[in-house]
Amino acid sequence: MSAQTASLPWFAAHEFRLQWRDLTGMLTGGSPRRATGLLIFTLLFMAGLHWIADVLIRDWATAGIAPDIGTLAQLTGSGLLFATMSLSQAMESVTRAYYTRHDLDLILSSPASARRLFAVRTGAIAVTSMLMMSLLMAPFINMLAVHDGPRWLAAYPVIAAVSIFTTALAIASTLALFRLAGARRTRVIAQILAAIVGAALIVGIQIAVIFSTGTATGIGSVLSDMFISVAPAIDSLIWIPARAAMGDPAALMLTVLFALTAFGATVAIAAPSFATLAIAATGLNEVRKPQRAAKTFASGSQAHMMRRKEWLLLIRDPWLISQSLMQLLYLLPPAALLWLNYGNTGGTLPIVIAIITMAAAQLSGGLAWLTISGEDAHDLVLTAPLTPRLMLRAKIEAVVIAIGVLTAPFIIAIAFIDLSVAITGAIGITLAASAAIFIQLMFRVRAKRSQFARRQTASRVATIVEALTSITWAGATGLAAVSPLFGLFAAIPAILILAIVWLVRRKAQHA
Amino acid sequence: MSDLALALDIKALKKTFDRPAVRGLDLKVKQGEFYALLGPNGAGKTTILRMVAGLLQPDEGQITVCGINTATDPVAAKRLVAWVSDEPMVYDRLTPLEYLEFIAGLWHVPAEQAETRAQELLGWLGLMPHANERCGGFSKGMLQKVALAGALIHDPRLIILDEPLTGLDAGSARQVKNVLLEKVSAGVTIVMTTHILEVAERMAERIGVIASGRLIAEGTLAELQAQAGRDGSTLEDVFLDLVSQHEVPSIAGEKSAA
Repeated sequence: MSAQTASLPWFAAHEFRLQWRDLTGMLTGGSPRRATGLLIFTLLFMAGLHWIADVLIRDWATAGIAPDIGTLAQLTGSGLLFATMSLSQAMESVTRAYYTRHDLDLILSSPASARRLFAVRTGAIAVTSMLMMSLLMAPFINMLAVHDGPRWLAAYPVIAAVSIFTTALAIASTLALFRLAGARRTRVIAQILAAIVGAALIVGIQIAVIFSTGTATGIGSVLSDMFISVAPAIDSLIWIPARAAMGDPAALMLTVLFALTAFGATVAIAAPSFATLAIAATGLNEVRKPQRAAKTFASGSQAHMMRRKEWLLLIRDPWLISQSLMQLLYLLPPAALLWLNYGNTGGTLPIVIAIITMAAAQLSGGLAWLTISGEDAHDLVLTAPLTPRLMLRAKIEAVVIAIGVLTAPFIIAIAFIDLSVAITGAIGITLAASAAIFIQLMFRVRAKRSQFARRQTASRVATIVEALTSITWAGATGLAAVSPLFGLFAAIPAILILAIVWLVRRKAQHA
Repeated sequence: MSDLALALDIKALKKTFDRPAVRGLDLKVKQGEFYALLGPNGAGKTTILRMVAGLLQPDEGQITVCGINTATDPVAAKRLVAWVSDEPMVYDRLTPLEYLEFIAGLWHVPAEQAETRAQELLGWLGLMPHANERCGGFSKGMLQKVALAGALIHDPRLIILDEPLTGLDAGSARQVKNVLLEKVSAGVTIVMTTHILEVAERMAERIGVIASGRLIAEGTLAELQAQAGRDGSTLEDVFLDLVSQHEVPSIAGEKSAA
């Protein structure tokens, strides 16, 4: 490493090396064969996405895209959606930068500058967000460049600017929370805010459309009408990022400069207090808040005690909020639909039941990971006089009951409207949750609860399979609410996915 | 010594990872005995104890706890055993009382009895003022004491301790030692690994020395001194002598093979 020690480039090189090894370790597990497989899969996946993007935009792009209100509104809307997601991610990452220890104690106890470390770590957050957004948007940008000219490649620096700006916003909001709420409350509030920001746009739009039309169908057309009616004039400053993405050099320069200035100013303001606030966050562990003393010890079976322990730990998990709140927020639109259509058995119930099933499956996956893989006292539980089967069953029951408690109000409300749909929903939710738990069992690892947020990056295959089964079970449940026969047919792919997972994982475990 | 008088009986135990970790170990520990297992780093001590606690499957050999074969009836054996490792197995977000309540539930200790015992243990270990605080902010020593309380709440017949005094301050170490000695005087068997030879010298009735997965010497301090030919020496001198005696032939063997 040639850079001067503890300088900004030196910290950046150190950080890059750690992140690179972390990423490659997680993705390939150190196996060159797995790395090659992953590369081939990524290339094929990207090619597939490019093909889909080509189909979606070919006609629009080949006709020539003019920077009219409609186009600018569409680009700004998409950008806003990505910006909220990026902001949500950045808020969580910035909070972690303050609260997660790892090497922070080592560096803060050294004579190295904490300001430089902060600048590098927040810079890394912006770069990560930039790479993720670029990867997602690349198929559309590339296909627009192919069909409508290379000016569309200017969208990449715009993505970079959006990522840099959202990171700056995340730093500013975290800093404000530290000032307003103190170190103890900031972690929880920041997570709640991050989840709300991440889901706000999609959930908000859906609820707005549902309340204005009474239905969830045709959101796209309703939205574009709403957008056009409230859109500012074509020369408004609001359209600058959209113009920049379309290759307007002046708009591009302005967008990038604005983001860099915002980021630089925020880092300059936040960096000096980083060490103090990070130390304040450490101090939280030294303040031990007394809990309400239990009057007497509870008695019950081993399974009961295991479930009780899991529920206590789930309720007290500080990172669970950020990981699950978004899934719960997505239940708001179906709740709005239920509210509006109460007493009306129109076509909305299958959609409602499908969304609830999807959310339940996603939530089950997360809770199952925490209870099965994220057992902090693994050795303790293994030395207890109970069979592994009983222990596992108790953990699964803890998840199933938690999901049941969360979804029961919806099912009961639906039962008052249409009992058969409620029964179908209950069955669908049970199957979807069971499938998500089954996947977690097949891909179980020995991890710490604190690694929960990284579970999706730790096993991409598990994440993809979990998402696929959630979607297929949600679809099958929604269709079953219309016609049980349709539902049965739609459940076949979901069952096939689980069968493939079982066969592949069984083979892998025996190898 | 009849089998019934043995708290732990290990016969021809073998375990191999990428290299042999335990090579045909035989070990007998009487009921109510305090036994210290010593050995250099990587000697196989933790592997042996993890197999006794049911955390690892032996490749070969047999382990019997108070007459119960751990392979054929693992649950019955686990009822009698408590395991405390150097990394305390404690939940950050439970209080010591909640933790003890959970463990008592796993080991089927009746709630009333568990509660009384929990109060007693926390009192002995000086944890009563922190009984209703979450363990997340505890020091290593406090966590280790909570883990020890967890190990004792179900009244085990055999306590396996892997480096239990690592990271404890003098006061905490003394509290833990007192509790352990009290348990031994009540008839409980303790098998403990430690790198603090003074602790082994003062507390253990018999000491076993492990090197390269084998038991190379065993007995009281006097017997070990005699084996090493160093009467009146400290355990540290005897231990280093025994280990170096064992290492020298293997190094010579490797050289001659080369």
